Amino acid sequence: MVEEVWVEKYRPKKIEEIVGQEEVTKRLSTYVEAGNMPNMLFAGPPGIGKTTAALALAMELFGEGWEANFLELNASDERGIDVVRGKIKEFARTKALRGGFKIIFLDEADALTKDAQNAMRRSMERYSSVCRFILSCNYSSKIIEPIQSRCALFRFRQLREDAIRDRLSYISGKEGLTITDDAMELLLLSSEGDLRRAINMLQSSSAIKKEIDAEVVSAATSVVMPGEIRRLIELAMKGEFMESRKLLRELIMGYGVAGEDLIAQIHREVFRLSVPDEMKIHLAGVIGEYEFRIVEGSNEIIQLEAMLAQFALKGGK
Amino acid sequence: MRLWVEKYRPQRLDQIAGNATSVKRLQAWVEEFRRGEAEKKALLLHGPPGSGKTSAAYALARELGYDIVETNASDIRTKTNIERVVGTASKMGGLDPGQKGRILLVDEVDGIHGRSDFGGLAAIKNIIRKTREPIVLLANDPWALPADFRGLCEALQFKRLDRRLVLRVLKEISAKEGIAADEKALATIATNANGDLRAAINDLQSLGQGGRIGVEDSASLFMRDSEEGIFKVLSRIFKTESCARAREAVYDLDEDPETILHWLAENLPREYEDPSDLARGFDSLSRADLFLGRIKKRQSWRLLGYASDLMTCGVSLSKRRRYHRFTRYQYPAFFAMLARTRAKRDLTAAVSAKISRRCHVSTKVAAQEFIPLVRALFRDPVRAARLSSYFGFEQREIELFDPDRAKEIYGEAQKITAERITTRGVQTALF
Repeated sequence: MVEEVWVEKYRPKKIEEIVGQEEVTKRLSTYVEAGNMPNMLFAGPPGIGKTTAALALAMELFGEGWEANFLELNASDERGIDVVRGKIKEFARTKALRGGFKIIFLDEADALTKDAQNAMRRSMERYSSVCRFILSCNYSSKIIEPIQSRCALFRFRQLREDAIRDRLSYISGKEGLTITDDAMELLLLSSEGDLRRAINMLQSSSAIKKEIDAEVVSAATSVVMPGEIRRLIELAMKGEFMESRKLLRELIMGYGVAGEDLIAQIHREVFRLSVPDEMKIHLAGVIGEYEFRIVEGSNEIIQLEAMLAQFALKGGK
Repeated sequence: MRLWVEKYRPQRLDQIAGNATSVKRLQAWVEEFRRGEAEKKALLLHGPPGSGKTSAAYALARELGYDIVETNASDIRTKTNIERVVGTASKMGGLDPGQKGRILLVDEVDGIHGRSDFGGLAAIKNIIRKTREPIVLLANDPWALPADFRGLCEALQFKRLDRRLVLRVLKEISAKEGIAADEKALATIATNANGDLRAAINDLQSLGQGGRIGVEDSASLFMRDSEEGIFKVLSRIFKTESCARAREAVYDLDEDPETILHWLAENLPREYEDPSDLARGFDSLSRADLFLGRIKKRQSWRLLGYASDLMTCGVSLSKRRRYHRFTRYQYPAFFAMLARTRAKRDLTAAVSAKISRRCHVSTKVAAQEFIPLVRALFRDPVRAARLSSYFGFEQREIELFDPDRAKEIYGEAQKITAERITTRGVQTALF
């Protein structure tokens, strides 16, 4: 099938094609040679190759028809360990077609509660003769000790800018795009080391124009008009809290902007304001605090409104 | 469209929810009347709206094979009118053999008053004295009727229905209508109805149009009774400077913490005018929300106490001055927005699930990173069709990206899918 999404189209099919993770890929290759593998824990930030590594490993181990031997679950979507266990059981019930075992890839395993992880651990033991597990997480410290001790730990490193730049250039060449230097810099900056995001941004930009400059990238990556964001900040800083809150709600509900995207744009916009630099850095601290609270908290609208109240306070002084 | 209160009106007396004793007495009285043994020639069913008075009368008529001759407040009930409708019916039939029996039903009898219904009550009194057919009068408030009028009737009370009973009926109807209703949402509807089954069923129908009812839908019902409760709590938290009193404020409130948090956030800026009070107050709410987030993610329910402290006492002590004036509190816009944007969110969830399967990411990442990408790529209708085939989007899912051209794009996408399947078929045959 023709891959329409570049992240898939250019996803490495072989372990050796994975960029920037030499230590990991070397070890994984030995498993392919041996035709066997232990349970594994992949740790590292998003968009640096954890899922790709798991998929490539399965493809190389099992060859054609590898999908039948590979179950992919995402802990942040499979609510409740019972669902996970049910699916694992169902999958493990039938014999592996090739290689003598099957692979269960559990992504975002750190989203599981401690209790769920304990239940997971029992599943790992029960099906150890027929299944290998690959758990993937952002932080290995959020995985309980007993699971860690049963897994070979693989730390995926943050990708260097060069690695991302090379990959984007490679894709641009294949897709017949031209890309200016400052457009590339902007892509590197806004993707924050996340290759998946960088490729998605590149493809979004290509939908506007084949000749990609910074303006195209900026248009493609900001969902909301910068003008609206500026108005939001200015209203709040003038102390017009109710007005700014109204605009915030329109942006969130009307445009369907995710809180985290909105806050990233607010961050960008703050440095373009005509306020003293000290104020800018102060606001950046506030924004950072509330981005953290959005991630940890339950409701982003409450957090964003609280942030606007902080803006209103700082602006008034 | 048919109203569910009509569709599910009980057909038999034993299907009437609650008030069993009164229902039995109603049946016995009509039988006594027929035998000429009834002491009073009219029965006054009184009780709050939606407690089953009308339903009981109709179910009885149906069981006995009687007709109902009804007049209610929407009719003009002057003396002449009543004599024409009810009076005529009361003289006919009776014990004549072969004649179908009748029950004369005067609904909202406590609403017959004033100039427009002039002489209406007097006319009914006359009819009661002479009637050959049983007369059933319905009223919410029997004390609004003159004593001599009441004296002509046997009074029978219908009580507010128990919440659990209402809930049971709601569940039955949801099941019959095939609505996926959240148990908590139904409980909210039932509580909110305050014993009025008709109101509860109407709420159920209006919320259930989409085939499912979530918790956020039922939250939009607040407006009725329990609003008073939450208003009191808000006012206590905002006005007091005592930590103990603020904490106590939520004890009696039967609401989940997240709902209270939204009420507080909505109304905090209406109360705390000083920017630093507002910022501090919001900081407390924000930190309360942090705990709620941790509770959700890690199931650490022990943390609930801290969230509650911050929401109540934390907010109370955020102010440096008192706000004496009266504040008109408002219903959280967040709930209304949730209900309004639900269809869109459902679509987003469905689309995210499809993207998540194809691109090996969680639905969250699919929504945040891939939906914007797909939207950008949809600018080109040819590519839009290819993408729709690639992800297997339905037409309504395509509407999320391009509502105007969804139909054409979907048509093209189906062609592409069909072609792909044929090609694959050929390949399989060859190898």
